[in-house]
Amino acid sequence: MTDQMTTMRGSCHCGKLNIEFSTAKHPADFHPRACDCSFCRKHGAAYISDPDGKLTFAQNHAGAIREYRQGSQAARLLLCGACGVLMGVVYDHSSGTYGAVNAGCLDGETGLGDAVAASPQLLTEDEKISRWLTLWVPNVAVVTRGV
Amino acid sequence: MLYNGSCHCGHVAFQVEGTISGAMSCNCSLCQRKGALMWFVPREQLQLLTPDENAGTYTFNKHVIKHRFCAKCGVHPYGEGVDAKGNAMAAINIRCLEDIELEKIPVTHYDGRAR
Repeated sequence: MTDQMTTMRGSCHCGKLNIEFSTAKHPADFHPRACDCSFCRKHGAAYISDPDGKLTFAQNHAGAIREYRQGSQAARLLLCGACGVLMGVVYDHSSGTYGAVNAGCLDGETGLGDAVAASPQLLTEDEKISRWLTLWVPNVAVVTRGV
Repeated sequence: MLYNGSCHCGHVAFQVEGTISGAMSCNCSLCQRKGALMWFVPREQLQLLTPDENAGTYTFNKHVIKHRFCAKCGVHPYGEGVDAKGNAMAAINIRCLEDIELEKIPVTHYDGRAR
């Protein structure tokens, strides 16, 4: 185990949105959480995060990110308006913005572990938020910059 | 069998007629991201219940397949293309269908990344 951070990069399909996720964990130790809510099932989404990691969502122009809320409406799902791809999810808490990455958006052979099923929809809203604050990456940045 | 389907927010809704014998998952750069499980039917078996323009159109690579997605919730309910014989086809993302047991439908894997 090393504290050396490595950065995984990813994008939507058309390239207007990018992700940088830095973590000291080994890729194989991530098991993408395949959420079984109605939204995530339709997107085939599975999420990774690291509470000790860093995460930036970048859009190449203002307005490229489309936001969608569902269920408890508490979290913002980040989509590309041009190709529809779901990049990840963020939650704005008084202590900052927390987030997780849709693993399918990461580039190349990621070497991630096998996906596991997750049913956060069985939790109350408070339990969900508590789970996000524990599992997700803190201090997420959402920025606009050229690529 | 007539299936009802939609994106998540309902901006794109449809009905599709047919028998689902299986679905295809593909590892190409787009399918990996949208996580689709596709069932191919002749295009005339897909009937839209919402205006065609409610679904955005995305194309890439050879630009021969129209990947249709909801501009509001991003879900990709279907794609449109033409088969080798020139017949109009639709690729239904069975994740968007109601009243099916997704886990029980056999999935074949297609190496789209190599194409």
